Amino acid sequence: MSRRPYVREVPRFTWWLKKKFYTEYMMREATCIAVALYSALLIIGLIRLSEGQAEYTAYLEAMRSPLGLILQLIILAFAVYHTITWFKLAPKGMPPMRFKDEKVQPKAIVAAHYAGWVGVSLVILLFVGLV
Amino acid sequence: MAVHSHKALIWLPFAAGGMLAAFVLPIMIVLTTGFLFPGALSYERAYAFADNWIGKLILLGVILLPMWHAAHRLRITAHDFGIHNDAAVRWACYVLAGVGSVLTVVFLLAI
Repeated sequence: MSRRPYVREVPRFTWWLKKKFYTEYMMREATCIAVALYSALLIIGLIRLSEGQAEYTAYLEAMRSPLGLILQLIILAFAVYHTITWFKLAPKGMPPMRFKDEKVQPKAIVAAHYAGWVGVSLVILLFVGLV
Repeated sequence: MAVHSHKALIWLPFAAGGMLAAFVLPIMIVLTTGFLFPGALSYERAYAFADNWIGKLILLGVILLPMWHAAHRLRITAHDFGIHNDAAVRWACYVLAGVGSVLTVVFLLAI
């Protein structure tokens, strides 16, 4: 009991910069800040929309001002990173699946997610562009 | 006797919100920047979309689910960012998401 246990020093705020794997993990987790920020932008838009045309148009102009665009481009980069990492983890979060007596390969599950992503994005674009 | 846990209540919106965010957020951001179909989010069109129950439900989903996903992830990750007071972090994350939820519902109903 007299010996001091060995405690490895871990820098509290910068430990995740030491290894690429840690940095990628923290980048993945940090995408939630961008997602939360974008939700806030949408809620502000909803409030402006309920207030009237002038208020909503001003909101849209602010979203498309240089500052609004820079902010949204940063959010977009994190959102795409969230998509990539979410799809990468998808096969690990699913129960094992079988198709025609063969195990469905994780690669196939990830590929299906990407195909679905392209499909969903196109459907939304078609709806917005045509309706 | 079964032990009840509130974890399912947290995990369901986390997974659903993460999935929804992965599939629809990038294209939504492209649309709100106005890079594609800049006229699509005009006042008349946005109002018409939010003026019926289907549109309201879609907006409710795309705003609230990713937000609760983010709130839960932020709470869990705060520990890795060096903030270890989970009670305070939990309170801050979920209260913020709760306020966002109330605002969303109130203003969706106001339209």
